[in-house]
Amino acid sequence: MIRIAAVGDIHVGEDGDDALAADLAQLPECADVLLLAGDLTRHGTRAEAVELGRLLREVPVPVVAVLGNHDHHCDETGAVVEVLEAAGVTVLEGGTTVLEVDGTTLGVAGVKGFGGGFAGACASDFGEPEMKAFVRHTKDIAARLRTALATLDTDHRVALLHYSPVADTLRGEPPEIHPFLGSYLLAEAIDAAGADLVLHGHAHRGSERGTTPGGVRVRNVARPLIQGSFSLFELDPEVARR
Amino acid sequence: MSDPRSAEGVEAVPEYVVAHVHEALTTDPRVTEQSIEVAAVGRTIVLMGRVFSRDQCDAAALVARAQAPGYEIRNDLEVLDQPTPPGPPERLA
Repeated sequence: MIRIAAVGDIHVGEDGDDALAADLAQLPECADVLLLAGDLTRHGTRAEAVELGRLLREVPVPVVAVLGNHDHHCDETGAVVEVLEAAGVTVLEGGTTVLEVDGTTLGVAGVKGFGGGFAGACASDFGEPEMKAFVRHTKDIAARLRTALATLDTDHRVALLHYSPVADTLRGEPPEIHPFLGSYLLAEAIDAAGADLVLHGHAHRGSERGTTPGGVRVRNVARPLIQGSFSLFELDPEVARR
Repeated sequence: MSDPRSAEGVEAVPEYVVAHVHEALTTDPRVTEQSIEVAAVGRTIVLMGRVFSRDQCDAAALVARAQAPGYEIRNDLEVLDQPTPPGPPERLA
């Protein structure tokens, strides 16, 4: 049994977050790993990352993260990643990491993701350069996610994103902004490669549970939505791939 | 809707005021929150949703006030400064 704690949109600022730190210190009692689904900072500055790193360095389980749109805002992602990795956090953008818990392996493939919308109401790779660049950014990320998941030969596979791969977990958000909250291209990549679970954030007013068209469970762990410091998941060994 | 040809000008049209308040709440470093719901009810701007701290909540009202001169501000934001304990784990079988 692998136990996962997950949260997105923690938005740590230069003043830190003592309540979150206190809750994360209790993690070994209930989780083997902490997965962070982007928007780790408010504006994506090095100074915020330093505070976040100070907080995450004390977390007594492995921490795996992807960045979110807020973490890109000040164009300091290189510094943010550097600070987080120095604090022991594994930061994924098209990459994977494997953890072993009591002989069972967990593979995590992580990407930020991006927008574009969902079947019947989505942007197309057509027209102005700006629109094509928007859609191609999502396509590139989806392709990297598919490749990353496919390389994982582990008992369990989890896709960690910031943006949503499905509209299910956006219920509660205005439909008009769904194209800025996620893309079906991400779900298509996940269904093509396979996964046991998808975790994402970004949609603060969305819903917690959904599924990809191919049947993979999707969970929105945005902190304002779950109204806690993290959600907990247990991956049953019965669903292990081998 | 206000008449955009009135003395107040196009900036006073409620739809544009709401849009400008929402944009400012997203970009102002004191708030930086995209998911705040903004509505115009008569001459009142209503802020709804969840933010992380009392400071962010208070700043949201200041930002809205600056963007919506002549409007009252009703700040109905909920502050999530006391996280609740996590619920039981979801077992995925």
